[in-house]
Amino acid sequence: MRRPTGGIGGLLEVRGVSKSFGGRVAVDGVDLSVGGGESVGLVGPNGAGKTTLFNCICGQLRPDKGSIVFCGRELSRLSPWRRARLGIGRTFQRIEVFPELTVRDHLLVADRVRHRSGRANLWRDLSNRAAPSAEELGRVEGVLSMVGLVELADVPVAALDLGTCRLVELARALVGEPSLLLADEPSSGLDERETREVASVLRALQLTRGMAVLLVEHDLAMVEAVVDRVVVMDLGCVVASGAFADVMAEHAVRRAYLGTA
Amino acid sequence: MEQLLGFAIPGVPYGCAYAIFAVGLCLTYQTTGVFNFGYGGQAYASAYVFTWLTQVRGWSTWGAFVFSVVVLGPGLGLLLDRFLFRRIPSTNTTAKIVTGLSLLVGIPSLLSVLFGNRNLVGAPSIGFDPNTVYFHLGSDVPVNGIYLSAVVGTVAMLVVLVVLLRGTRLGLEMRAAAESRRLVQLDGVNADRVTATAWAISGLMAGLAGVLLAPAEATVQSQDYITLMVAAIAAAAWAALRSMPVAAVVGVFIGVVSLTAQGYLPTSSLWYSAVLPALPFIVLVGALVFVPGLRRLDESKDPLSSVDPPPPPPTADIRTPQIDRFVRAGWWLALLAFVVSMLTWIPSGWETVLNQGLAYSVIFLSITLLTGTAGQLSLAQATLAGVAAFTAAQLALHFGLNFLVGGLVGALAAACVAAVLAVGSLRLRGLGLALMTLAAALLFDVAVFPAHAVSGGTGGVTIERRWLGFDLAAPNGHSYFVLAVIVLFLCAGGVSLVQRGTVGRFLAAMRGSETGAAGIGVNLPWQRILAFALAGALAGVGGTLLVVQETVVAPAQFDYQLSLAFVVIVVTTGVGTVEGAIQAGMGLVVVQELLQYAPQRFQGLTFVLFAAGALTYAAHPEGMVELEKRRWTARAERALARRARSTAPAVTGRP
Repeated sequence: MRRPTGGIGGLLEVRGVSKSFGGRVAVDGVDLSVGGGESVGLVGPNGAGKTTLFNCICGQLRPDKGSIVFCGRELSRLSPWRRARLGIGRTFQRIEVFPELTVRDHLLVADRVRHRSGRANLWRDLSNRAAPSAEELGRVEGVLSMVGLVELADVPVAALDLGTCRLVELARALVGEPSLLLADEPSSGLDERETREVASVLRALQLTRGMAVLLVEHDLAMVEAVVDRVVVMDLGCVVASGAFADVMAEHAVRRAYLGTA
Repeated sequence: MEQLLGFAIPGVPYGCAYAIFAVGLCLTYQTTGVFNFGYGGQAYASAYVFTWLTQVRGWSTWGAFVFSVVVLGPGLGLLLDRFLFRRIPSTNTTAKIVTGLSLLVGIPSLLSVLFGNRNLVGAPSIGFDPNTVYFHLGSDVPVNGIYLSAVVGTVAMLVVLVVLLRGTRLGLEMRAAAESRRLVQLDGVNADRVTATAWAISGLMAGLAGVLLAPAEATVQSQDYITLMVAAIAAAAWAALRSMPVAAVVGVFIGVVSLTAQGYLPTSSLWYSAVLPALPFIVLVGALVFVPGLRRLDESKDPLSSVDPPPPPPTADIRTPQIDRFVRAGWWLALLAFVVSMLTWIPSGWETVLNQGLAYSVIFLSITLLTGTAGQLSLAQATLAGVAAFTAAQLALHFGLNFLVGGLVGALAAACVAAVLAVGSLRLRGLGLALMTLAAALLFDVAVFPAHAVSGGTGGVTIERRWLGFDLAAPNGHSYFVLAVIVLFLCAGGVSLVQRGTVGRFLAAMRGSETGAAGIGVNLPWQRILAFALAGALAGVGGTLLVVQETVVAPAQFDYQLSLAFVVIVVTTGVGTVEGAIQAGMGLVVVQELLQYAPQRFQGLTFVLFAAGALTYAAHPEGMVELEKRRWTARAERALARRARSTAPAVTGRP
């Protein structure tokens, strides 16, 4: 599938998206836009609806109302894997790795989806032509070194700790060269040094590759280090947006986080 | 109206039995999180012991009832909990299904080993005399003790269970423990006691259902209880395994409608011969399509599931290069020795047996690919083998096509059927998928394979020598063996290449996390259809190979129960590896052949052995053979390390 190219200001447009579970409204008429190469933080207290909104964008959940447009293409009828192939990468709040595969195989799977997803794979396998090429290994090694996982490349992911699994997820998403990365609490389970490294990787990719980032994160220091602007959600609604320092000073944001009037 | 009642009333005991079974399945699922395929086996055990005690040992009806229902039923439930289901991680649906299937296959076989192949008849009715007509419905529809026992027993049980689950603290704790045994323990609940109680109640119900049904049948046969399970599964599915009243109503509906339709439909019609037997299948498919709750069965995840240890990697992936070279050379030597032996000194009787093992190995490779690699569970692989075999037979019969060429066309047909099955169940996961494939197997079993146009009737189609092109069945010839070895070699090589290749990596990703795989763009529907189609083709090739040796293609060779047994057998040896499938195929026929020399009662021991092996699946999902390989590899590595240390030059200390 050919990837559409989105210009600045038009990469992701979320308009009036709502999602309810039973009688509880998790996301309520949210508008959000992310431009090409832009880095946006999505913050808010637990239960604000951030991950639900992520799931709606990725196709894990179908919104009750509203539209989601990526690079000018309406996403609502597309399955999650089709959205991924359009260039939306994702890391998960609850780790979603393939326990029996090694770290390198994780990245190879993602790389082959990006470069070799045709129907001829079966024929290549049966004719014993499925070994990774030097070019593939080069791409994979590049991402592994970027996130500091080279030494663990041949370790099955089941043997890794939670923090390292998060890095594997991040690397797996990056090897697919997404236009937009949805990072759901990437610092969860990481120590301070690892968090700083992840932040610098995200910032570097944004600047060098023009990759847009939509970051859900509770570590506000990391958010400040990575994003160009921030959107604050509370009780399913957007309550503020703008530059990090300005937004954090807003009354509605302080009330959402601290519960003060 | 009188005629309608006359046809419908005999369906009531069956309907009540379906209802009790369905309610029991819902209860077990709600309180333990396990869809217990072994429920039919548990019910059969109580019914068998009850009838044996009353008819053979001369016990009183109530004495036998107390022992078989009040003691044996809950006791069996407690044993299953203590030694099996308690050890299965809450999110491992495949382990739960395989363990249940092992019980369904293993318990009847174990009973025949323990008690001999007895034909038990004349089970007494509980509470009401079966020969007494208590009243008439309308003017002349008699209602005897069998009907009354079934209705009173069903209603009483339903009321007690609904009150227990919805109105007591124990019921609440049971439902919570089913979600996460470990989480409720953190709330101070004794989860082991709660779950054990749930299993005891479930076992009591299974026993009661079995004993209530026993008088309605002429003889106590495990087949009846397995068939009954299918109807009960359909009823439980409409209740999304949650609502016991709905399950009971649908169960009674299936029983009554089946018997009523039987009364009205002409016995020569297609409706009578094909549609009516498939009624449970139709009801089950309807539930899988229209009940959204069934698609979410596997979504409830234990929040503490991450504390479960990951499965160990295959031994072949972790052994040292030195041992790897040795093992690989050993495999080639073993293959060479096997081929030379088969061509030279092995007696023709044993050659026939081992040839059969080669054919089974090809069928079992389909389970390796589908379950071991793709993580999808199909309970219809024997059926797909049958699709290919019958296709080849019909092509040979009507068009004179060479049977082996027809077998390839048949494998293609089996792949198409499997692909259609995959497309029809794209929204289903784990248990839902297993039920859908079971329903398909049942449909072919009762409505397609017995049709005259397909199999020529129950006797099947005899394969003529001229269809084969060259004489595969010649006495003292080895043509069939050579053919079987080549086919197995090609199939095993193909599966191995797929596992190591791009498709294998995509399937492994899908097995690990469907959400994660979709998140990087893996086309999950396509991968699933591809896995099903490839597995269908492999089963088809194996099925054709199997019938060529047996020189007949008959419905009994592809019974849906065989599909259940196949899964159990492959899981026992190792579902993730090619050699696991070959060991399963050869092991099955060798054990069966060796038991021919044992007394008659031990003939059923094959399935007991494999079922016992599969019961370890929860603790060792890699399979017993793979487990032993890992242990022996570790021992060899330790020995090599000791040898290396002892031969290494001594290190001189610092002066």
